Amino acid sequence: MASEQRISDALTQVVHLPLNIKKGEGIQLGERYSVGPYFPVFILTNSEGAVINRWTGYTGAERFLRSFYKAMSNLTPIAERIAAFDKMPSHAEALFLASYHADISEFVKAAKYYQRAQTLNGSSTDYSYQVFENYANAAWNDQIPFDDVLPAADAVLEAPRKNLQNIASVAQLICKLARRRDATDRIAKYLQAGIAASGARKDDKGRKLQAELKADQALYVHGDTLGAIEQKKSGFGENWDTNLNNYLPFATYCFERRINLEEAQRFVETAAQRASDGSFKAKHLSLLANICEARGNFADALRHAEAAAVQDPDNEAYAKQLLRMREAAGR
Amino acid sequence: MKHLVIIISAVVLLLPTMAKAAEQISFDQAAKLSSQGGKPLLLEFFRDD
Repeated sequence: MASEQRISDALTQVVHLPLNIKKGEGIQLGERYSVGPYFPVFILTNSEGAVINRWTGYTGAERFLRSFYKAMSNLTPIAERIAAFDKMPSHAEALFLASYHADISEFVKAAKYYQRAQTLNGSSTDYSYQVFENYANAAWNDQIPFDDVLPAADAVLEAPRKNLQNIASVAQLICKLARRRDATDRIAKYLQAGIAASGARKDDKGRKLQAELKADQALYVHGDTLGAIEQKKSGFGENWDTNLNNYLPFATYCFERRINLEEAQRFVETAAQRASDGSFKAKHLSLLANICEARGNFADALRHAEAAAVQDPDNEAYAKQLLRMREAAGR
Repeated sequence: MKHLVIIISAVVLLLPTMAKAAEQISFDQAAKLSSQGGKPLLLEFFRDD
């Protein structure tokens, strides 16, 4: 059966109400249901509007139908499921409630449900990374202080069955979070663990990740900016600068850490000139605008931001960047 | 950015049936239909400026 027909059949089991978040009652209902920034969002409710389940994204008929029938398999509203869980907790319900709370950006609650899932399931599955991920998201969204994430990060490092990929991801994420929260003085041990873990991987991805973590170690632990730049470059392999595809990630690395901006600008200017029109060129121009702004060159920053918005007019991020830069320039 | 970890690309692909929906009913009407028909409501939030 064609996927469109299968979706139509599925939708006969519900009353389907499409709502534009920008118009009419979609605006108010979007707020009521905390819809968030990613679309589409599907929310299954009972006839009183009490939430039964929700999921985000429509990336294909199969995935939609899977989410749909999973939601339809238990029509108990969330509030009742939470009350029932409190009386009689189960591993499956803990996982369901964890996932639900992560979806509505209640990350601390999500982490706590994963911790309950861990307790209920004993040692057969390790949820330490999911706990960490949700605490990290909570800190990223200013819901908790940076230091509250560290015990969860420690738990991943100390898990009885070491998962090297998880340890490397913790190092990467904690570093990103620490930059945002001005806490890079507290990440040495996670970088060290991440370097060791990524070194165990023998593939190209592992090598690049290890180079980045070593670069961050040089920068944040040893205060060695030049060493950080060399480490980052080495991660791209020999003759890295003969490949234009390396310029954008290298310049992004420098911009995010506010280091080596002059060279970063040169690389991304070269790549932007040769990039094909459209979203790919826009990516370069947007970064170029940010680098120029960081270097105090506001006229060029604005010019590049305008060019990025022209190259990819549907991208909201570029429109926002341009608006911000125009406001800063008083235009 | 909402998520540190998960960056979902904001691909907006509406359900195929959406395009065929000639009439837009209100939430209250949908809730009434839901109650009368004993069917849950599926709210599909999308973004169209």
